[in-house]
Amino acid sequence: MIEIKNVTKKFGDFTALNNLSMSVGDGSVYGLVGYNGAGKTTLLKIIAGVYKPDEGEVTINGRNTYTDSAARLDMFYVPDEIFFEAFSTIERMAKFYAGYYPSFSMETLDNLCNVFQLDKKARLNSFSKGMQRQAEMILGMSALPKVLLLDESFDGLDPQKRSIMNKMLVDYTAERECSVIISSHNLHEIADICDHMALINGKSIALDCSVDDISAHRCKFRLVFADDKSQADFEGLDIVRFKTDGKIVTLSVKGDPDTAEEKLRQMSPLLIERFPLTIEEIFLEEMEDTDYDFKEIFS
Amino acid sequence: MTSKKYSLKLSGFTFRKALRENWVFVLLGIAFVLISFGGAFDIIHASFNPIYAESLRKTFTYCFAQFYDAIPPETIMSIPFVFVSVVLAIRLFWYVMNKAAVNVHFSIALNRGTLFASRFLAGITIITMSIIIPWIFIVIANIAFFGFYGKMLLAALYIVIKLLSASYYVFAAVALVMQIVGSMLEAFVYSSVAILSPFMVNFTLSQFISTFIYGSPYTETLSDYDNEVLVFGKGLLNTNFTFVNFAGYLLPGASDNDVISLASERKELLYDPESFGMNLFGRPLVFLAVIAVISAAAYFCARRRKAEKAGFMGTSPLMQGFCVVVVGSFLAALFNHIVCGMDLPFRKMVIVSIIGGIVIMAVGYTVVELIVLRSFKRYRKRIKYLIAEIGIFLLVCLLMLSALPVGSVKIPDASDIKSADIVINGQEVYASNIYYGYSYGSFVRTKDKLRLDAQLMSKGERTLFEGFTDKADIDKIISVNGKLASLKNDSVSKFYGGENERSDKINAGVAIRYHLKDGKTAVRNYKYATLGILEEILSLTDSGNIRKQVSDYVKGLVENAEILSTFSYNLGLVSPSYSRAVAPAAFMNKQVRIDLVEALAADILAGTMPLSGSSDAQFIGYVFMAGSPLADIPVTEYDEETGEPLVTGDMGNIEIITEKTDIFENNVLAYPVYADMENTMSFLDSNGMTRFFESDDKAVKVVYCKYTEPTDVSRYENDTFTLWGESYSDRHFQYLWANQTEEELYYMMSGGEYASIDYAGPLSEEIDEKDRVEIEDIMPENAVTVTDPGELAKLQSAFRPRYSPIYDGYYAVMVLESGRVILGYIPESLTK
Repeated sequence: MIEIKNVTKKFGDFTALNNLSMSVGDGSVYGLVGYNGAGKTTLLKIIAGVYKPDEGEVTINGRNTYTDSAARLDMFYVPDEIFFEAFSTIERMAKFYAGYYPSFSMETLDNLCNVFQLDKKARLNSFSKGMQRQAEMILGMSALPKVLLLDESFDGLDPQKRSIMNKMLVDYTAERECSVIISSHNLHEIADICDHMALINGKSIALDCSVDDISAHRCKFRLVFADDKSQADFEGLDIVRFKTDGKIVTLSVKGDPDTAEEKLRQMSPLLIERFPLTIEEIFLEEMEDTDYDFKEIFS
Repeated sequence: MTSKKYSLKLSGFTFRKALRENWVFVLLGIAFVLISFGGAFDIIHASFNPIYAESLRKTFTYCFAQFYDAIPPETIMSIPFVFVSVVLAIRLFWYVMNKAAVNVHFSIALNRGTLFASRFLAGITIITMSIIIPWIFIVIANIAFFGFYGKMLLAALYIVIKLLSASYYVFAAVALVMQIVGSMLEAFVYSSVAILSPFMVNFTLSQFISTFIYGSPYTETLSDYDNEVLVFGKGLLNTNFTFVNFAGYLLPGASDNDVISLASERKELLYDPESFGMNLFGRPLVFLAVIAVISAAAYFCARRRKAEKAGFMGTSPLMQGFCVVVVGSFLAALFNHIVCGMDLPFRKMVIVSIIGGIVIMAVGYTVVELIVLRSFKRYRKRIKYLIAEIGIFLLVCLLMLSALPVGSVKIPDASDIKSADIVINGQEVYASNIYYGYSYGSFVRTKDKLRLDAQLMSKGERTLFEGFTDKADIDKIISVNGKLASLKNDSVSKFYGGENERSDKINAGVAIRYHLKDGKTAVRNYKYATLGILEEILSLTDSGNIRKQVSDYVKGLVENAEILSTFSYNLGLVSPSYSRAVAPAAFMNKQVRIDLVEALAADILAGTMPLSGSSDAQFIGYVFMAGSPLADIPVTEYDEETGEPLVTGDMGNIEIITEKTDIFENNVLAYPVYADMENTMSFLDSNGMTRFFESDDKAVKVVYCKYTEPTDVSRYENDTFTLWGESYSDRHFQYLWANQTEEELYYMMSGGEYASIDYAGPLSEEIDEKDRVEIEDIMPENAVTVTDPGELAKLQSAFRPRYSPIYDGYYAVMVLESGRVILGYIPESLTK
């Protein structure tokens, strides 16, 4: 269990994170979404023990990740800026990480290299950016950490490799009960694999929810009535978004979709259609009245 | 596994990895020591040649016997190892500067302090191995080949500690800087400043102390003076490559001349022999203590290192401030150094130095701030630090001007003084430095010599007179000290200036050391003196005590020559007009040679040979010692018993060695023999040697003139070194006087041959008609030509060859019957 408690981080006069709190459970794939400069990398670096929080703390199973270096033994941070030693290969970097991660598995590395068709002995500086990202994530997974922090790691991956990587991560998380925090400025990149999502807006968490929960309790209806309707006619429903176009009504509701449908049918609509909400739509609805800039997240 | 065990395991991995990645530096160090200093070739050479080996063994023994006493303690720096240390530190700690690397290194399960310590220890290990491994090999090889010598081990230990401490210091300083700053550019610049800071701080302090505290001991006159206050900076960055090349002290086969000359030089400085041994190891140990502090600071900074600094400039105002202050102060001190060279009166010098220093500091601060901050607005916000810096500078200057930092510079009471020593500029000022002295320059009046030495020869050579204990002497020294101190605000004489620009105050350099009864030592040092003061010091030093020292020194020269085969002192006798010179080394046996020198020494002790070398008594000739064997000079061998030549057919070459070679171009030391030097004259008479001074070569013409002032500095300086003893040529005179031409001048001799004016013998080559000149042509207009035989005899007896009198007496050119042309000087006192 990763717990982030009241973390504040300032760079000079600029406050990057302000009293931020959240928690990530074991075996969870946690998506951290936010536009560029929202504080995702800062938060991940604080979790990884790279940055010292000005206030608050981050703990993994109760151990402070900054002050207690042993707490980082089972945590691997794949940063946004790729680091490889000069003239190194995947094999050489594996030896480097094997020195610092006791559970590093060369066998896993071999398997992953085969899956991604990466040459272990090839110079990493001859790799493309996407290949370097794959290599980095492979090395991270080969360390068999309990906590894997991925900072914009899908950036630059082609759709096929992203798909494979998604599957790998899901399998890995399931197998090892590993917590993964993935940050991205683009929701599309990580929406498929996260079971939990958080929206970070520069100083704090704007939204923190379980994808399953939020999906299970949200749906959208399109209704056609014989007469005009207003939102006041739909009392008893937890409506998040309401739109009318003459006799056609479109609305999103929170709560159990079956119960909501039952209630709507009692209003004798001429037509009723039920749609599941995409994660994007849910986020949009949740953040509708905030000042959050979604342009990049959903681009 | 516990956290501690994990930490140990991970730090062990870090350590091993750092070693693996940098092992090449160990090889580099080993190769460097073995190739450069190992003496391996000498040992191999010696192993094939037992005769040579024996010679090496002697050299080796001598080197180590001298080592402990002779090696200068400031030898601490070895450039290659410094370079290796810098590169190594950068390789080991670059990760804190790199944004990508810092993410990885700071997220592993090792805290920053431990990570730093592991890599730091790896660096220390690499440096240590690269220095110790080759030295172990060298010591073993030396012991195996030459046997065991305790001094050798001591020398090896000392050198190893010196190298280690210098390398550790540089490594630790760079490591510390890298833990503080954010960018590689800053790391490079600030590390350079940090490494150089001891030198710069030392220079700054000593410069300002020496110039602002009039009479303080830390002046450039005693720049080699070993003072405890500045010991740290002084030792670190002495990049004198002669000293760095310590092969001369440790390894067989290396030249021992350096050791000998160093040993002799050191005696002239104010080193305290009793504390010297302690200083030998004391300085490296001080360094090691400083290194420990720097390392601890680096560890502390590493623990607190912020990852967000990586890649950013200007993240360490403290380091930036330190560097700006150090460099700014250093530049201000440099400016002060230049100002002091102008010989301004004290008050003016201080004002100019302070204003210049403030301007330099402000400019330096502004440039650095704008480069780092790149924002004039932010610079304006930080202007308070510049004001603070200048404020501190002014405060320090005021403190120095009030002489607070080093206590009072007042003259101690006579009742508190146990003994006193005096150091003055110049090698040839007094006879104690006879090793260099008594060449041509010895035959002038003391006043001329004092002035010349004080002003022209103040190039780092000093003469020490020590051990004045008589109350009268101490009172006189105190009086001299008071006079020296009172010169503070006088104008300084311009040596090269005309009559109206000259004052009595000259840039001389006098240091006085008082040994107080309470065990303390007080040194007072003055940059300026007057001729009168210098003459007072001379009269003070013409005492039995000094004469004894000089006498012992002269005797020691021969003793050393017998002990050290490398120094072949060849005794010889020369007639006053150079017309005859013999090398009695060929016919005097060792005992006779020693007796002759002892006779000279006895005259020095008795006062019959003047310490100044000047006398109005009848000048008989010279006893000379050739610094190099006279192998190039053809002489005929004599029977040691009878003194008769063994090969009679070669008589033409026996005595007139100057026909072939000017002996005074062979690094010859000449001791004057005057008629009243009873011991020497008695010895020469009893051994039938006075005949060698006789010469039938009579003067046929003397052209002389009152020596005029040199007026053109550049011309004079062009030949400055020609005044440093025997090597000066007459081209020098040519520059100074009437003709003002750089052409070679020749004199047409009576036999139709031509003599170059800077050559005492005939020329064999033809000279073009257009180059022909008469002596009168190259002399000033007021020159007088004498051909009257009676007058010529008088002038010839007063003639002292080859010396530039500068202010008194006459420059003279004498033409002898044989056609020889001799350039020289006639003291004014002997013309009356």
